[in-house]
Amino acid sequence: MVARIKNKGVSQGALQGASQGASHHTPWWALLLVALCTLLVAATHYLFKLAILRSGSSVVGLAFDPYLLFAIFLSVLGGGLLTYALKHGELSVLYPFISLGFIWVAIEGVLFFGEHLSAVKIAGIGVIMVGVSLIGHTGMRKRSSGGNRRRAEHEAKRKPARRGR
Amino acid sequence: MNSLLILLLVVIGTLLSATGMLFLKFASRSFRVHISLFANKYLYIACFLYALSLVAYIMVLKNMPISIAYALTSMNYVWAALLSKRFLGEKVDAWRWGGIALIIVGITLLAI
Repeated sequence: MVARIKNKGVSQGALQGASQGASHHTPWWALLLVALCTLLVAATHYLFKLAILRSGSSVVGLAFDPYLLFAIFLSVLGGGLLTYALKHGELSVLYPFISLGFIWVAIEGVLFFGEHLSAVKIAGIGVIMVGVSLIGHTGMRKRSSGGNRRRAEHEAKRKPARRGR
Repeated sequence: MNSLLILLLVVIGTLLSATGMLFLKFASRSFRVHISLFANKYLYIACFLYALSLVAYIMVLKNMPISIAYALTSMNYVWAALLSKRFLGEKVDAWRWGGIALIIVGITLLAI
């Protein structure tokens, strides 16, 4: 919340009171939150794999494995936090951070599960990360385009009371 | 398990999870923290689809290194873009198509 108020201070003037709030700025805490979510993702998938490895072929054992249940809890928590962060920042800035998760999971695969990654696989993961980052790019184009800013200004004039929704 | 079968599981699992997300979006339209949340049928459908996708993911993870399996779940983004275009009327511009293409290229690199 503090960050949002600060952001408004910086951008005072044209966008004062726009209902979009701090949309053209991404608060630092949103970046941090997304980065934290990628760590949660890494933890989640680590627990998934552990649960699978230790349950062997027992389906019932796996279904009630505390690791698995905790991983499900973590992934729901991560999903919620991520949604919250995405709501308050720019997708184009935050999406590349989402793809950090691919790096963490790849590293933990190699370190903790003794997996081997060939150069082609590493390239594949890299290409996917660029692709995920590009998918978020839409957000910036849509939000920072001139037309939209003008619309935001227009709205700000019309509804000065609705600030910082 | 043969690698083509695993890939098919990835396709089905990510499609299920993206559909789950679509229903979560439907559910969010009437979302508020209230007892009526339990009557939101979209929420139940979303949970069910997520549960199914989890089963598919676990089957994939059982037969594959985690570093590859997790990267393959990025197919989620492809389905999410296609489904939101089809059912939510969201626009997919050149950047997003480019992103989708790159994800597919990346998945292909991991699958071969």
